[in-house]
Amino acid sequence: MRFEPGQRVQSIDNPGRRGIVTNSPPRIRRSGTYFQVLWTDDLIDSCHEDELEPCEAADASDPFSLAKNGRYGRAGNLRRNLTYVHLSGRLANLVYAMGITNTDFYSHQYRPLLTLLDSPATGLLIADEVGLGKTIEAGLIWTEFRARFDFRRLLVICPAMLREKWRDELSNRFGIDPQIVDARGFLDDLSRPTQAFGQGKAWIISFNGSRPPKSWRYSASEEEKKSGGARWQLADFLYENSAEEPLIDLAVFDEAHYMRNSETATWRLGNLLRDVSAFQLMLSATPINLRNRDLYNLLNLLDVDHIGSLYDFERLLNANKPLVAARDTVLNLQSKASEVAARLKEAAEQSILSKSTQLRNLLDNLPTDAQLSDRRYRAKLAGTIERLNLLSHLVTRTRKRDVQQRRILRDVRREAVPMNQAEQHLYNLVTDTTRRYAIQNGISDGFLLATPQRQVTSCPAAVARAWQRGAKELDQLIEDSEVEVEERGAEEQEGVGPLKALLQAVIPSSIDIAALEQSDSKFTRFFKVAGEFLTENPAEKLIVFTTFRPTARYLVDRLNAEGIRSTLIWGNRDGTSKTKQEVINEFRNSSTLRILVSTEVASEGVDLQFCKVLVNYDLPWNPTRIEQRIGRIDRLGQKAKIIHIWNLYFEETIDARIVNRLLSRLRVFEEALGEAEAVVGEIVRRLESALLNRPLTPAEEEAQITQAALALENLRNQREELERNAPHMMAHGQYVIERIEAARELARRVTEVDLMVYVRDYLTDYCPGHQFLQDGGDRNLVTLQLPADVAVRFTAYLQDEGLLGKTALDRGRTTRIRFLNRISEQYHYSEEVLHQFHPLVRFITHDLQQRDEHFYPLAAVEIHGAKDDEFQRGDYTFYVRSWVFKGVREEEVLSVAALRLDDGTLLEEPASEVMLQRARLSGVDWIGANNEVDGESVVRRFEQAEDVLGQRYRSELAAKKNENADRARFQLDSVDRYLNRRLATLTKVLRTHETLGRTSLARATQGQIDKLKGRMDVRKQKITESAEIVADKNFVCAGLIRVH
Amino acid sequence: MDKLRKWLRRLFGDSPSPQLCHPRDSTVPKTMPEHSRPKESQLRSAESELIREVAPLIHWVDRGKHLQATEGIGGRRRAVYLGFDFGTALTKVAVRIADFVFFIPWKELTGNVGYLLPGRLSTTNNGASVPGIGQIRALKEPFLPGNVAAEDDHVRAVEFLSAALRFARAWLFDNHPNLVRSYSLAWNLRIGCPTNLFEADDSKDLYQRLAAAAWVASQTDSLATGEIVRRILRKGVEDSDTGLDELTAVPEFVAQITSYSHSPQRADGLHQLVDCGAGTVDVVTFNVFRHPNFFEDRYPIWSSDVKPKGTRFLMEGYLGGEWDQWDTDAPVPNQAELRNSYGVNQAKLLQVESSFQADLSQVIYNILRFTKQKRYPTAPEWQQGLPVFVCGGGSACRVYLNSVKIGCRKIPVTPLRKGFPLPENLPQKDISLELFSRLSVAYGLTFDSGRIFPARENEDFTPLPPRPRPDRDDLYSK
Repeated sequence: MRFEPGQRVQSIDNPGRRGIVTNSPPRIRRSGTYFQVLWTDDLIDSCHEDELEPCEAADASDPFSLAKNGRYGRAGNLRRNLTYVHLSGRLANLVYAMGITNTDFYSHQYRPLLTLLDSPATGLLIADEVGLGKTIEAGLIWTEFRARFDFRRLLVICPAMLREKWRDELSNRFGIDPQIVDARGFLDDLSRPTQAFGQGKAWIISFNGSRPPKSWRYSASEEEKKSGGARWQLADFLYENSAEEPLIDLAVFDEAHYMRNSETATWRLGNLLRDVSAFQLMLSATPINLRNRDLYNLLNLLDVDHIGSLYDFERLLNANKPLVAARDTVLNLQSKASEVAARLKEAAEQSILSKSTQLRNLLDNLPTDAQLSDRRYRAKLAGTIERLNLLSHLVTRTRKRDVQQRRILRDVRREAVPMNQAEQHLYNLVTDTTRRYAIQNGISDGFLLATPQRQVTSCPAAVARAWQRGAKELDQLIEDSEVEVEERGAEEQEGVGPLKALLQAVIPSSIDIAALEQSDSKFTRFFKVAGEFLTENPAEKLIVFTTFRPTARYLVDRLNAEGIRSTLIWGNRDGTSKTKQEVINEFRNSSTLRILVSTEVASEGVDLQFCKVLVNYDLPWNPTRIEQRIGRIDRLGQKAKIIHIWNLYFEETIDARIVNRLLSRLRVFEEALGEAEAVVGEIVRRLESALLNRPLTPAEEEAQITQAALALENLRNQREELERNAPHMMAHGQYVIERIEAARELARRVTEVDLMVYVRDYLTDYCPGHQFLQDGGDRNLVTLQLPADVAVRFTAYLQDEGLLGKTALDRGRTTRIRFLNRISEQYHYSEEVLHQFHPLVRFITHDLQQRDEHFYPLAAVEIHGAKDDEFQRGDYTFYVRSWVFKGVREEEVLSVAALRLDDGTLLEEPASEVMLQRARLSGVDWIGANNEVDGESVVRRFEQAEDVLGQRYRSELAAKKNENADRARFQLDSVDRYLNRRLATLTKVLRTHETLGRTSLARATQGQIDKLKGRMDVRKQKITESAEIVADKNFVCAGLIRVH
Repeated sequence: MDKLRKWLRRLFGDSPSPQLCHPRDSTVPKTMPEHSRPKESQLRSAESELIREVAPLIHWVDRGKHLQATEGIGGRRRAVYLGFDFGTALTKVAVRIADFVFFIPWKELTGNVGYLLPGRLSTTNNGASVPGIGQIRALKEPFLPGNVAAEDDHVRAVEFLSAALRFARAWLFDNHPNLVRSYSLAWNLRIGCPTNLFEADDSKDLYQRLAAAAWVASQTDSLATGEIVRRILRKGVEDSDTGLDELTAVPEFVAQITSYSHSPQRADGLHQLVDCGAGTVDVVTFNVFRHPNFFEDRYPIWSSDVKPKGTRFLMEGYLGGEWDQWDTDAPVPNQAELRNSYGVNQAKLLQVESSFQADLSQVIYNILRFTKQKRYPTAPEWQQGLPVFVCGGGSACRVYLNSVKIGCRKIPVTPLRKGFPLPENLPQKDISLELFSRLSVAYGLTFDSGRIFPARENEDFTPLPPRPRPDRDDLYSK
C-alpha cells in the first residue's frame, strides 16, 4: 500500500498509536516499502507498509468493526479510558474519598457520606454514638465534596475547647490547614472575594466566640452596630448575605445539641450560618429519641423548610411508618409479593407521599414473587423504599453494637483510699465553707458549688498548692472547669466569674502544703500499685486521667521524681512547643516513658487505644464524662480483649457516695450510659446543687445521690425503649453499607497507579521535552519537570484558579513528586505529594476536557491470579458504557457487561465489574489476541452486551426519572417555603420601618425583598428546567479479557 | 533415543557420544562460577540425563535456523527489528515486533535467569560453538580502536554472534507464536558499534561485515563451526545474500541517545554523555535536534575524547597487579566490599579514588570548557543545567559519578543526570528501571536512529561582529 506525505495513519498492531507520514522518501527494501511516520507522541520511526493503515480505515467509535478486524489496543488503552472517566467525571459508583485520608477503613463511617450524596436535602444530622468517629465522617464528606464539586470553603463550629482537636484532626487526617478564628477574623475572611481562597479555606470558630449578642436585631441602628462589636457585625453580615450565593460550601456543627434551644443566641448563630452555607452537617450523640423535642429542634434548624413545626415532624414520622414496614417486609425473605404490595399501598395513602413519583412507579410495577426470589432484587428494592423515607435523608445513626465485631470486656476496680488527718481537715473545711457561702449568697448552682469540692478530692496537695500560688494557678483551675460551663449551652451563664469569687471565699487561709504532700495518701497508694504493675509488665503503659491540670502536673512531677518516667498532655493552650499529638506519639514510641497523665479535656478526640490500662485518679460526677475518658481506650482499633479501669477515690467523701450510689449502680464503668451529655448533665447539676447548697448528713447525701441515680436509670430505660423502636423509623442503612463494602472490594477508588498513568500519559502525549523519571527503588517517587511552554500554561491555570504557590512544578524546575493518593500526607520536605486534588491533576483534567479527545477504545488484556469464587478462567468479552443523567443532580454511571466468549454466558453485574477493575489495575497486554480469537465471535458477544446494557439503561433511566421528579418537587417545595418564610420576616421589618417613618431603611428592605424574589425565581426556573432528566449514554471501551 | 542420537549427530558431527570438548583455553580455574562451567560432565552421564540436558539445546539450534515461524505460509508482512548490543563483557539483544519490544532471556544457554549474555564461548569437539559459557573471552576486544583483529578473532566473534542470533529467533518463535505465526517476517538487524567510532565510518563497515556473516551462519542446519564461519568470511557476504531488509551498524552512543530520544522525556539542546566502559571512558558533548523539514533526529557532536579510564583501570588502581581477581562481568565493588573482600585499606582507597577522580574530572572539564568556549557558548543549558548521561558498566560507581560532578562544578554548570523511563511497550514485567538502563542500547537499536554529525563537520561558534556604533548626532538630531 502506498502512503502519501501528510497522510494520517495508525499502526495496525497497536491501533491506539496514530501519526502522520513524513516527507522523507520511502525506503524500498527486499520485502516492501518502509514509510517514515511522525507519531502523536512526537517520535519518528519507519514502518513497513503492511503494518500501517490510514486512520479512516478504522472508526475508533465503532468497536464492532475494530473487533472484526482484530484491531486490539493494549492494557494501557483500557486503563487510560477508565482512569479518565474516573478523574474527570462524577461517577455515582465511585467513592472518591476512599483510601486517600489518614483514617482506617470502617464502612459505617462512609454511611453519612453516601446518605448525603443520595439526599434531596442539603443537611444531615449525624447522631452516632460516642467513639465511632463523627469527626472522621465529617472529614470524609468534605473530602468527597472537594473531589466531586470542587468545594473549597469549610466551616467548623464547635465548643471552644474542641477547636484544637478539630484543627489537629483536619490537618493530620484530611490534609486541610484550618484556621482557628474569632468573629472578627471570620468576618474579615468572609468579606474577601471567593477567588481569594484558591485551593481552599477552612475556618474553625467556637459557638461562644461567634454567636450574636443576646440583644442582636438586624434592624438595629448604625450606632448599635458599631458598639455591638465583631459578633454583632458578623451576625449582620450573615443576615445580609442569606439571600445571596452561599458564602460557605459546608458548615459542620459539632456538638450540635448546643443549638437545641431555639430561644438562645447559639441557635440563632446556627440559623444564620445555615442560610449562608450550601450544605450543613450536624454532629451530636443525641440519641434518636423521636419524642424528644431536642431532635425536633435540631431537625428544624437543619431543614426548617420541611420540618418547620412539630406538626410537620409528626406528619413525617407517620408517613414513614408504612414505608419502614414495607422495607422490612421486602427484607424478610419469606415474604410474598402480595404482602409487599399491601405495605406500599398503605404508604401511598399518606398525604405527604401521595405525590411521590417513585412510589407511584413502584405501585405501577409491583414486584412479582419470581422477582422477589432474587436476593439482589430484594436488596435493591429495599434500598429504593428506604430512599422514599424522608427522615432517612436527614439523620443517620450508628450504634457501637452495630459496628463492633467483638465487644471489649472491661475489668473495673474501685478503690476507696482513706484520708489522713490533714486531708480530712481540708476536705471538711472546704465542704463547710462552700455550704455556708451558698446559704449566705443564695447560690444554688450545683456546678459552682461542686467545683471546690471536686478539686479537693482530686488531690488535696496539688489543689492546695495551686490555691496558694495565687491568681495564675487559680485561673488554670477555673479554666479546667470552663468546658463544663460551655457544655451547658446557656449563654446566660456569665462565664466563670462567680466561680472565682467562690473559690476565693472558700480557700482556707492557712494550709500546711508540705504536710499534705508528704503524707499524700492517694498518691502513696497509686504509686505503690502502679509501680508494681509496671515492674511486672515491662511492656505496658498507663493512662491516668484527672479533671484538673494542677493535679496532672503534680502527678507527673512526683512520678518523675520517684523514678517512673511520665509525661503530660496539657492541652496546647499554654503554648508549649509540642503538640498534643507529638506528646502522644512520643509516649507511644518511647520505651522509657511509662505513664501518660492527661486531663479529659486535653485528651478530647485523641486515640489512646494502644493502651489497655486506664486510671481515674479522680472521678467526674457526670457519668458521660467518665465514658468519654474510657472511650479514649475503648474505641475502634483497641487490640486487647480486656481493658482495665482502676478508679481511685477518697473514703467517706461525697465522691465515695457518688461512686457507690450512682456510678456503680448505673454500671457506668462497665457500659456506656449512652445518654446525651446535656440531659445527664442537667440531672447531675441538680444533684450537685442539692448536695452542697445546705448542710447535709451523710445519710441525707446518700438519699440525694440515690434519687439522681434513679432519675438517670429511668432515663436510660426510656432511651433503650425508644432506641428499640427507632430502627423502625430510621433507615437501617444496610443497602448503603453494602454499597460501601462493594466500593472497597472493587477498588472503586483512584489509586496511585491510576494517577501515575494519568499524569504520565498526558505528559507523553502533550508535553514533549518533559522529564518523568521514576526512582529505581521507589516506583512512586518521580522526578518531574514540565517543559517551559507547559509550565507557562500551568502557571496561568494556577493563577486563574487561585492555586499559585501550591506546587513547585509551575516554575519549570525539576521537582521530586511522590505519587500518593493520601491527602493528609506531607511525606518529606523535599518531596511534593501528588494526590487526586493536586493542581497538576486538576490542570490535566481541565486540559483534556478542553481538547475533547478520545482514547482508543478496544483492548485485549490478560489477568492472572483471579480468585475462583469471582469468575472462572477463560476468555471473556467486555463492553463498557457510561450513562450521564442530568437533572436536578448530575450523575455519571459506568456500566459493564462481561460475557464468556465461547458460549456467551453473561456474568452478573458485580462479577463483571470485578473483572474490569482487575483488568484496569493489574491487566497486562494480551499479545497476539487477534491471532487467537475469531473476530466474528467477538462481534456477536458485543452485540449481546449492547442488548444487555440497553435494557439496564432503560430501567436505570426510568428509576432516575422518578427519583429526579421527586427531587425536583422537593426542592421546588423548599424554595417556596424558604421564600415565604423570608418574605414574612422581611415584610414585617418593612412595615416596622414604614410605621416608624424610616424611609431609607424601608427602601433598603424593599430592595432586599425584590432581590430575594428575583433570586428565588431564577432558582425555581432552574429546578423546573431540570425536572426532566436529560440522559445520554456513551461508549467508553470494549475488548477481550483472558483470565488465567 | 535413536532419534535423539540422529539429531545430535547432525548437530555436532559424528562423535560416538556427543560431548563438548574442552575449551581451547585449557587453563580453567577451579573457582569458575558454577553457571560458566562447561556442561560436559552432564553430557557424559546417563542417557536420560542426556536427553534432559541436551534436548533444549537441540531444539533451539534447529528452531532458530529459520527466518519464518511457519515455512510456506505467506501472510501479511510483519517487520522484526533485532537490536544487538555486542558488549565487551555482556551482550544484550532486543526484538521489536508488532510494537512490542522483548529482551532475549538467555537462561537456556547460561542456566542463569537474565537478559545479559556473558561474552564467552565454548566449543564442541567438532568445532561448533555455544555462546554465554566457556572460557573463550574478550571476543570484542580485538575490534576495539587501536587493536588489530586476526582472522581467528573474526571467526570467534561471528561464531558467538551467529549462535546468539539463532537463539534469539528460536526464543521469539517459541514464546510468541501469536506474533509470528501466519505472518511473513521481514527482518532488520542493527548492531551496536563502540561509541568512540563516530568520527570513523570505516569501522562501521567492520561491524556490519561481522553481523552479515553471523546472520548467514545462523541459518545453517547445525551450529556453525569455525570452518563454516571461516568459509563465509573468506567468501564475503553481499547484502542481498542475507535475506534482511536492513543490516546496519549503529554507534552505541547513538543507540543510547535513540533510547532517550524515543522516550517522551526527550528535550532538544546540549547534552553530555559519559560512557564508562571496562577499558575506556568516552566523554562527548552533543546536541539533540529535530530538523523541522526533514523529520530527522540529528546529533551534532561538539567535542569528544576517549581515555583509558575504564573500570578495569580503576580496579587496577585498587588492587595493583592482582586486579584480575575481579570478575569483569561484575559491577565495581563499593568501598566496604573493597575493604572486606579484597583487603584494600582505607588510605589506599581514598588515595586511588581521589587521584582517579582528579584525572577523569579534568577530562570532563576539558571537554565542557572547550564546548563552552569554542563550540556552543550560548547554550541555555550552561545556566539551566546540563543533561548528562552516565552509562556503561561504571555508571553506578561513585568514583565516576563524582568525577562528573567535579568536572561540571569547575565550569560551573549543574549536571542533570538523565535516565530512561520504562517504556510502555515492554511486556516483560521483570525488567526494573536499573536493568533497563543496561538494556537501553539494545532497545535503542530496534528503532530508527538519527544522524550523527561528526565534530569536524560542525563549525566553531563565531560571535557576531560588533555592530558599528552609530554616531550620536545621527540618532538625535540637534
